[in-house]
Amino acid sequence: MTEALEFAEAPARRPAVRGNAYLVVGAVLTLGAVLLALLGAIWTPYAPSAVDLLHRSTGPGAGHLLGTDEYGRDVLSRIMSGAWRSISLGFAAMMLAVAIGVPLALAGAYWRGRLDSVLMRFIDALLSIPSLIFALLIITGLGTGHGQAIVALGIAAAPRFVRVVRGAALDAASQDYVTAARARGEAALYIQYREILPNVWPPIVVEASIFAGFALMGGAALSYLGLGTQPPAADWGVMVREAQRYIFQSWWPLIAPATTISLAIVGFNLLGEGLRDRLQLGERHAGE
Amino acid sequence: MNPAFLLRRLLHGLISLVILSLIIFVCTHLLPGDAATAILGDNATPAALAALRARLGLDRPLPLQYVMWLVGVLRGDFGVSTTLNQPVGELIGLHFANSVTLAAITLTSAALIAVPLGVIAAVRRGRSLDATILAGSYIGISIPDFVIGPILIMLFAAPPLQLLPSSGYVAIQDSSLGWLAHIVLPAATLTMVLIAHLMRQTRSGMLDVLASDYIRTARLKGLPERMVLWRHALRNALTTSITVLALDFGYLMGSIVIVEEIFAYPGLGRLIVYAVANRDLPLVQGATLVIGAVYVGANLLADWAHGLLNPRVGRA
Amino acid sequence: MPGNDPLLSVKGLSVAYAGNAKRRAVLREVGFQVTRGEALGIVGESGSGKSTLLFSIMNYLPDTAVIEAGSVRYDGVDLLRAPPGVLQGIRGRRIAMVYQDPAQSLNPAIKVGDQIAEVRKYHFGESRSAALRRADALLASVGIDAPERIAASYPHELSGGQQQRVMIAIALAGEPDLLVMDEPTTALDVIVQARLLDLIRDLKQRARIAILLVSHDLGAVAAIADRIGVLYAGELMELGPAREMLRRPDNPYTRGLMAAIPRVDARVPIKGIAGGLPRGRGRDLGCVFADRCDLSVSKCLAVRPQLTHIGRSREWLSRCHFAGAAAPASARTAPAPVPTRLTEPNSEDGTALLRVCELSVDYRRLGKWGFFARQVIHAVRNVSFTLRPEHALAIVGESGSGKTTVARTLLRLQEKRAGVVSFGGEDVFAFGADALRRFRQQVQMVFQNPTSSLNPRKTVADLVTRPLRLAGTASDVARDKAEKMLRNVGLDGGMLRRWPHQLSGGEKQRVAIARAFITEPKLVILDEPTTSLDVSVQASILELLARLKAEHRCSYLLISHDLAVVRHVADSVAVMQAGEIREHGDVETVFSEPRHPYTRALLDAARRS
Repeated sequence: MTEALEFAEAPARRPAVRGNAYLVVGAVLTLGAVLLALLGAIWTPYAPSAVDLLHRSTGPGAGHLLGTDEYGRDVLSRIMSGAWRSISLGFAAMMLAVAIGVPLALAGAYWRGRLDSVLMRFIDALLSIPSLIFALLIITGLGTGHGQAIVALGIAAAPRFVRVVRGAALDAASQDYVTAARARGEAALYIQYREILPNVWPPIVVEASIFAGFALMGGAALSYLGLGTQPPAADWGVMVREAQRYIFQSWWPLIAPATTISLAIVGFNLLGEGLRDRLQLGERHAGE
Repeated sequence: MNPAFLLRRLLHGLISLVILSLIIFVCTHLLPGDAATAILGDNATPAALAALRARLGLDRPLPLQYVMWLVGVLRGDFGVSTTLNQPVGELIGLHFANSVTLAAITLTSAALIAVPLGVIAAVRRGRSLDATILAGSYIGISIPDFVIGPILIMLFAAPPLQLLPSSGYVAIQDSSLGWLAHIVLPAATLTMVLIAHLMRQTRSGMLDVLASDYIRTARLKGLPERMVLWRHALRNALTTSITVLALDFGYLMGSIVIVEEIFAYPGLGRLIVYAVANRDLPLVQGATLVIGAVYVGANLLADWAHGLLNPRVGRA
Repeated sequence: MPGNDPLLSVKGLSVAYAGNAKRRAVLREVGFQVTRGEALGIVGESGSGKSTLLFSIMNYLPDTAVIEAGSVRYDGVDLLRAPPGVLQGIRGRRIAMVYQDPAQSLNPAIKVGDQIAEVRKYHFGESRSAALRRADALLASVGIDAPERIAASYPHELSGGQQQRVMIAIALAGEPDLLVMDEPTTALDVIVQARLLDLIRDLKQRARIAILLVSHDLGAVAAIADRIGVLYAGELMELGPAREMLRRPDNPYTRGLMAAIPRVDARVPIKGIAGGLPRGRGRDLGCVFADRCDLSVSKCLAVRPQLTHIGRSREWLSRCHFAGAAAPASARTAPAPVPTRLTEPNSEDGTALLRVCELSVDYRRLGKWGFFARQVIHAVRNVSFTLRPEHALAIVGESGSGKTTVARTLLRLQEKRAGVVSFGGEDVFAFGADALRRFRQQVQMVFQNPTSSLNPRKTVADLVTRPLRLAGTASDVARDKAEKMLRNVGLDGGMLRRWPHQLSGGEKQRVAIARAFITEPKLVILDEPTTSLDVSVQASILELLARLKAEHRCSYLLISHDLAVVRHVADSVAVMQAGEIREHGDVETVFSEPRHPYTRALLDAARRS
């Protein structure tokens, strides 16, 4: 009946230290990855595809900081070039997922009723295939390649995004300020984007960060399967696939991309988690 | 329990599958280039292409093709693979059992390890054990399976150890030891990733339960903590765990695709990759639909279990 | 009379929260005693620390809480320092607790009977069958019919009142000496509340259990307590015998509280307490109530008063430098005069502002079989009423009566309905886009929960100017008007730059009211406008609403469950139950001579407090 009265008493306890640690580490890793990618887009010590049959499968040493692979190509250069490909793919796919998912979620939360049920039925159906397989499905239709991988991953990630954002949007939509806006006769789009969205962006940011990590993973997975970026282009997934074949000769070509992929994904995940802790703290001080 | 609840869930599942079939069909037919060209190659004569199209039914309008396919599926006929010239149903059947075995082993091992760890982490929240477990899980979900797999190969299948085979499959009828040897690495790879996910979700589910008012009531009744956990907390946390397992089952199937490819394990995932790479539409459609059906089935079981355990849901 | 030795003795209890770096004091040197068989009621508004007090006694505070000083002695044991084994023996068995929200406090997956029996099994070693039999008996003793059936049910299958009775049964199962209750009736409807309070009073007499009750509702406390304590901002301001204190309270804060409560029996002038809780002030400086107190002098701001004995009768303490002095002749500001009530004109004179004819609204809800068999809920059935200009009509009812649905339908937030709603003679549901826009400017709404009705991501300026800007007014013109309006509702112009989370509940509601009035509406719908607010603030808001109505010459449609507020504000009233209007008429008449049995039941329940 009566709402619980304002409680100026127990503040929610949040282990602020932990959240900050995640944020810092995540930010550092993510930033490192992005910088590496940007650098790799314009300069690498050697041309990534430059074959050097005289120096195949060497370990790290002078001239080749991370050694060479089975064709004599410089591992470090391929890592840097691959960084650009993999990370830009991760970002692009994530933004596509956001661009599709957020409007759908907002619309569903605002309209409720029939539209929302149909939408959710659709989303539920989509969620019954694992997103990688959904991506594969789209690749079947679109063909293989870097651009196709972006589209496939972005669309495949959108349903999960819708689910998450819709939850937060529904919470916001059930608040009285939305009812007040409706009572004022505000336009539907205004309510969705100027009333609901500002209250919902924290979970969007958190999920986007985590998705970027998983998109990166997905992109590399597709390349590993031979369905994404095609060799001889340098891409972390491609590098792992090739390195696996020659694992009996040298394991540097495997360790290098394995480490960078893992670190990049860890970075995005920790960034997302750190933001989540932080933003929940910050929630009560919106706008400051 | 309420039979209406069971039926309602079943109906939802079936509707989901129908929608899924539509989505599958649409996705695979996005590009105009069709299977006939893919099969006969670029040098085929127009007449040959037309003949093949007629034979495969590709000259009919798309919606009709969809309906025909769907009707076929309902009768158990998934069509014929365009690249292998075998009935899709047969191909799927052969590979399905292998994947299910792998999945079952993974789920069991992961659950046995992850759920207790997640519960312990929640109970000892904020202390060092929790922090370690949590950190471990973050790392676990971030390292992709196609990184773990090759690294395991490097450690166990490559010199110097060379303990286990790096790929392939041996049927259990032929050699149980051989079968085991070939399944260890793939299962281990999958398990590691799954443990991380499962542990996190169990932990947060348990934390939610521990923070609820009825746990406070139980404690303030004077009950010892042990009893509060076992009698009050776990019962409710269990229901979240079940939902979580169902969700992770879906995640597992995505990973299986990659892991089967890494280890050349002849399962449904490997079949799908082959089919996608070769644009074998009937095979892609059939295999994907089967995976979707398995997932829906798992969810249905989870829903029913949830209804059984949580009276509020079951009697709705 | 209750026994002599105190059962529970709280001394000098000081508790603070160390959330994020800053330490905030929540309780300061609180001390009192509860003797066997007596009921002590602690009254406190939000921020008073009352819940923290109870959980401190049970020694169940979150990790962020720090007990700075004090002791809680029960039967010779200091509960704050007792080892876990000792605490377990006392909790549930000697001291039992009843909580505010029974729905959340019961385990949804365990049958109710088992939850009661658990206490018997653990503390008394009874077998399951014996414990369950005992559970049935306990359920009967708390007034539940068909106890066996209820014992075999799950919590969500019971009503709110039943759930709370179950909680009480669980508490009684341990045969405790002391029952600690945290707002036990707040979440319940008025009639259910009254019955539950009867039960508690009855239990006290029958079983000679001591009761420590905490509530923001002075009425609930007065219905049960032998002694009353008043808590403000973590400090005990007054503690004394219930009847005498209620008749003539000594402490200025208590006096302020009582002056702010509207009555059901008669329309009396009420007065709010100006100002708000002290925000992070240095706690050592003077009396915590000084900046809001009419009597405060410089000494009050500098020196913290101690609890002083007022030797009128028995033990009576008040924390005030003027304790024991006669009540001041006149407070600095007199209560607002009660606005004259409009008398009901004799008959329909045709100048109705709003006319509702045979309004019915149905909801469809998913039934057991999902989409295939939907349940129809008749939220509103054939409701008709008329609202005249400059008139205040109240719709009274408990939850589920349909009153909120009526309000939403009037605003066209609910489109599907049968019946006619006409505003200014025109059918509201037949409005085209332009007419609808004009209508929306003329009919505004103030919501129950001010935190929820103000978008936390918008400044006060955005919020208040929006209705004008939506209608096409230029931003600077709108801002000027907003500034004026804010002053009109008692806030200063600097408010414009603030964010909602920086405001108190009362301030937020004023902003919401400013927003509603800025388009000069002819009708303002007030949906439980003061329910979420503290009593002291409520009175100020009611004063404000009365003044605005006279100044802006508008009509009110007040939706409320609180009969006292209705009596204070409304000219006429309609009583709703299960979607229908049971009784309708002029407020004085309906309240003094109710005709329908439901109205009578509501009034009886409200009078209990």
